[in-house]
Amino acid sequence: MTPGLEHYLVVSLLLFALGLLGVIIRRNLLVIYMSLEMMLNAANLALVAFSRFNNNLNGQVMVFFIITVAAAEVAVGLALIVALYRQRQSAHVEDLATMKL
Amino acid sequence: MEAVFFYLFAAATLLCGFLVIANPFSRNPVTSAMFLVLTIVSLAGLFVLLHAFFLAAVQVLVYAGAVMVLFLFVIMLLDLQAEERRSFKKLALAGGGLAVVVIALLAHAAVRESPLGTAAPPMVEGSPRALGKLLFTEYLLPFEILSVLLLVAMVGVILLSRKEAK
Amino acid sequence: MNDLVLMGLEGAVLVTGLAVLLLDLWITPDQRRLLGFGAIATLGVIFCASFAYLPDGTQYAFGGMYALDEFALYFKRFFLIAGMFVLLLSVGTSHAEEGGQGEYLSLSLFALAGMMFCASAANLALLFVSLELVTVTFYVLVGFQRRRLASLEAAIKYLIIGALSSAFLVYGIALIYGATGTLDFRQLASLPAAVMESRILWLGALFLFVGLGFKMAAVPFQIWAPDVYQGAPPSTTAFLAVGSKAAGFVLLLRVLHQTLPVLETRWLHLLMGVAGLSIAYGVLCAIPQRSLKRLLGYSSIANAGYLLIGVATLSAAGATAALYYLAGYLYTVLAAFIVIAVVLQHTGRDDFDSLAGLHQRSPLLAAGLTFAMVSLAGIPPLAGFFGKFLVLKAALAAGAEHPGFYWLLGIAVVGVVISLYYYFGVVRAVYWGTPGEQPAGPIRVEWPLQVALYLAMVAILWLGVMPNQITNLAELAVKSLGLR
Repeated sequence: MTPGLEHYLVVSLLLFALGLLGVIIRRNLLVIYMSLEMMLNAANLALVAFSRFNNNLNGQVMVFFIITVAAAEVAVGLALIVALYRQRQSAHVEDLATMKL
Repeated sequence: MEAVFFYLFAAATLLCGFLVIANPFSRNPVTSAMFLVLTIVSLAGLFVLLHAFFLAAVQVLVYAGAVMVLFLFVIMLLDLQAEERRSFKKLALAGGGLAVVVIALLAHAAVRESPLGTAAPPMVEGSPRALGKLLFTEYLLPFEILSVLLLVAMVGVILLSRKEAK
Repeated sequence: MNDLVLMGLEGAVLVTGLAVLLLDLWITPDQRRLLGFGAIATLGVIFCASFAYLPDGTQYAFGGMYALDEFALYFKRFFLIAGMFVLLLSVGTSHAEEGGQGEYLSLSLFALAGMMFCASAANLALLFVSLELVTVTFYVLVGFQRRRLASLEAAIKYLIIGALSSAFLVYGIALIYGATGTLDFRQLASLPAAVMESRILWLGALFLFVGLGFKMAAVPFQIWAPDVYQGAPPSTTAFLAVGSKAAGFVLLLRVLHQTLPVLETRWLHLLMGVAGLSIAYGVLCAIPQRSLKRLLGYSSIANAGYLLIGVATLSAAGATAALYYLAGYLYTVLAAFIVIAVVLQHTGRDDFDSLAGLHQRSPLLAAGLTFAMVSLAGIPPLAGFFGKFLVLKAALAAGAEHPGFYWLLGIAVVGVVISLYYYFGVVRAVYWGTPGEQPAGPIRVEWPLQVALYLAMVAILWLGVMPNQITNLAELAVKSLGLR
């Protein structure tokens, strides 16, 4: 039996949920950011699987865009986190005075 | 054969993904980053099973290669030690669990009621030629906007991290 | 070639941004202002050029990727006006000491181009990419004053919540693609009804709404708004308040009415609920605020609610009202932030106490802030009143079909009454506040800001007294969207 679309979709949804859980429970900005990357990766898996089973490549092109955007976002985000760390000597959510999540 | 590899890669993806967010042995961001690299590589394996060969390569090169190295570099640069002492908040844990359960229920309802298995047998191959053709014809405009986005990221990073002018 | 002509407005803005970025390398600091004025003048020319486009129905470019119609043009003009004011504000207050005036200008221009692409997006890929161009640029613009801790913290907060909403947006796009096999808006619109019943499609659309809700700052995706509004530099906050919010609304309207009309009935309760919650949350949380920027953050959430009422009516009248409301909101918020920027520069604070005695120190600033607050409160004859009037009228008409709108109408009216309290708290602080120990010398307002403030005040009054010209434009725009 070869795995079908549902199999890939379940893996992707689980990975998305794991990422969301990480964003909510972890307090370290860097780990939160990694969890966000995981959520994007879950979407990538879903897109690739849908692309295969929809018989067109649009989904894979979308993944290409997402990877590029994620790289740009990570660069800017890490620059901000480093700048904050220089000021604050901390990368914790709780140490952000205004951060009331 | 394909099924074996699928379960192998899927299990590796989810296990490593779990260890990124909640490693029982270490709360160090470096271990999280290493497990995220493993997650990404296992995902690339799933991409290969889905015949998205080019994206599998890009996934390893860009994500595992460039993005995660950037993460590790920043973690080392900041020398984060104090993280390990802090534990999860009960409230956050409850909230996170609730959010995940809601999404899982929504997803379950959506997947179960939709005619997924009836799709035609998979045919499409993600070769660089086919992908490139699509990228430079139909998707030319978003592709060009992405170049602006990368320029913005470059300018922004330089602005945010350059040395203070006297 | 025709494709490039159709997207000429965005192209011109992008070229201007690149030119500013390059020219900044060669010029001396004294010439920086000239560079800013040059960019503003160019935007003015582009704005005038937008009236040369007379789309007959909807024209597509880049293989159906990009759509140009009256609706897109309305929002492009809106974004261009916002861009001109924001550049004027940034030149007038000049964060030059923070380094990178030229970079600030060019990044603002790139964000502007991203918003204009949003207005024309006819494909989920373009929607995602242009929305990300706006978001990533705003990460940098919010954290631009990197030596001010508040600015950096605001940027981090915007970054985390923004990336989270992007993840939902992307997953939503993936699910919509999975259910339908296409990313193209026209193909989505012409799908058979059986496909439209797919639950995966609904879930995808819901995730897409999460992504857009973040842009609009509607409850429950509003958590970032007050902190980011307070921490960011004033010109960025002004751009965020009008530009980013409008980008969310333009995409919501296009997806709702043109792409997936099946969502109209499905989302009715969702939109109504979000609208009511946004108004209630924004209004109630604004009451105890003492910081003007934070107050405007909560007011922005409440205003997203009023705009969503217009969208939720699903009628041409409601959409027209929302478009007019946005135009009035644009000038009102810009007037308020021009005053805030100047007061911040002189006192370093933006709480109510720093406003005390403002009418003696600068009658112009006091008048500008009063205009903005009175308009936000919805007092005739200013623009804010007519916007609220149109929205509530549309809701009343929709109430005949759906009684839930009467509840929404009640919440909206109570919201207006409560908001009178805090908007007039600001006016009271300006005219009757007791100044503390701070020096109460006159505040000199630089001429670019004077011009901008006068223009904004005239526009607020003009929109309120003679709303027909804008409502006609808005009606034309809504008609091109295919709404009855």
